[in-house]
Amino acid sequence: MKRIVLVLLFFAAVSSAIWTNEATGDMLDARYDYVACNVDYAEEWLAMREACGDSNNVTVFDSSDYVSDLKENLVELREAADEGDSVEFGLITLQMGSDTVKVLGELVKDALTGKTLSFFTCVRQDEDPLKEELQTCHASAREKEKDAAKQYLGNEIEYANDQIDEMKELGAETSGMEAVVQYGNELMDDIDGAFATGETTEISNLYLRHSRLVLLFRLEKMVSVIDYAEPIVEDGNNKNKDEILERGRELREDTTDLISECEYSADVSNNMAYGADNLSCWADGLVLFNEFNQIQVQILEGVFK
Amino acid sequence: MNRIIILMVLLALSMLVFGCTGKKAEQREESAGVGTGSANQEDGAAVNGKEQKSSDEELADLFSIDTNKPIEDQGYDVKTPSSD
Repeated sequence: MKRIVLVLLFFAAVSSAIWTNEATGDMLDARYDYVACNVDYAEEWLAMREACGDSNNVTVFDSSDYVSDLKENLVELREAADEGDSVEFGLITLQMGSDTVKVLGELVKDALTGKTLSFFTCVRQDEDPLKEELQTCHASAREKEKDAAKQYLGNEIEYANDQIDEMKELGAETSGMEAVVQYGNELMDDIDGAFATGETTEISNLYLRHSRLVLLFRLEKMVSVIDYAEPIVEDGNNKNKDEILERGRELREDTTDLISECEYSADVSNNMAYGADNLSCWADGLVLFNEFNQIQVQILEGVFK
Repeated sequence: MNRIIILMVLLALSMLVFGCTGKKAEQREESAGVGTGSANQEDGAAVNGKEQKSSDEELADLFSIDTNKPIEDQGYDVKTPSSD
């Protein structure tokens, strides 16, 4: 019976820790629009290329299967966006990205096979209006994304400040968490400028910085909680007191090490390297998050022993 | 005993679902921990019939961190063809 109660308490605690950002759907909706711009353009561009092939008596590769796959994926992407499922959304766009690369490779090979100058001239001329439409489409999608991004980040900053207030009410140290929130405010200030450039890289850099800040905030909160809890556990009578203290101290050391290793920088001079560091930092961070959540179970076990 | 376990797992799963879709205000109360009497956790756990949590349980509430990753820059890898 005690084990059942502990399982319930653990699930209750985990469920209470899962905060959802209400702007997630808007973010995915805007990003869907951007992807839809690219899919519509690709479909029209390939059809235009085939028409140029017909009018110039050259054979072009059959892209119908590719277009069909893209459109099917787009339907699934819409569903993921409607469900607010960012994980599924990301997986589908990865697949679409991979399919795109394959077709670009096919296009390069096809371009080297039996094509004439008049064919290439036809394609270059006829793609110009399509490119203009694509730019207009992208601009609209980005405007939507910019608004959604501000709302998304704003929600996160509000939630972070709520957590800081709660920890302050307990008398806990929150300077680490507050420093991260300040970086978050600076990130908010950079959103307009990044989107104004129209450069995908500049916008992606915002996401890279954001990802690092979310990780660092959670790590700083863990340190704040452990420091607050240590004297309370020391003075208390929990049956697992010694194990909790030892585990907490080790985790604190590992967490502060990771905070140092994954130090934040607003300067994303090399986005590939920054992204790779994010992956590594998050992988290590998730291990520490799980260790932190396990301390909760240990505390509760010590109550019911 | 098995029926009790099944019922408890179903209850825990339903708490997970409602926990994922709850409003921020409710979740702030749930995550506040000490001194706020987190109602959902109390409802979910029959803790010796007590209405107030022990200090250990309030402390345990604090050891709860979100493991979900934030939204990333998905979609920019869907490239477009060009004659260039």
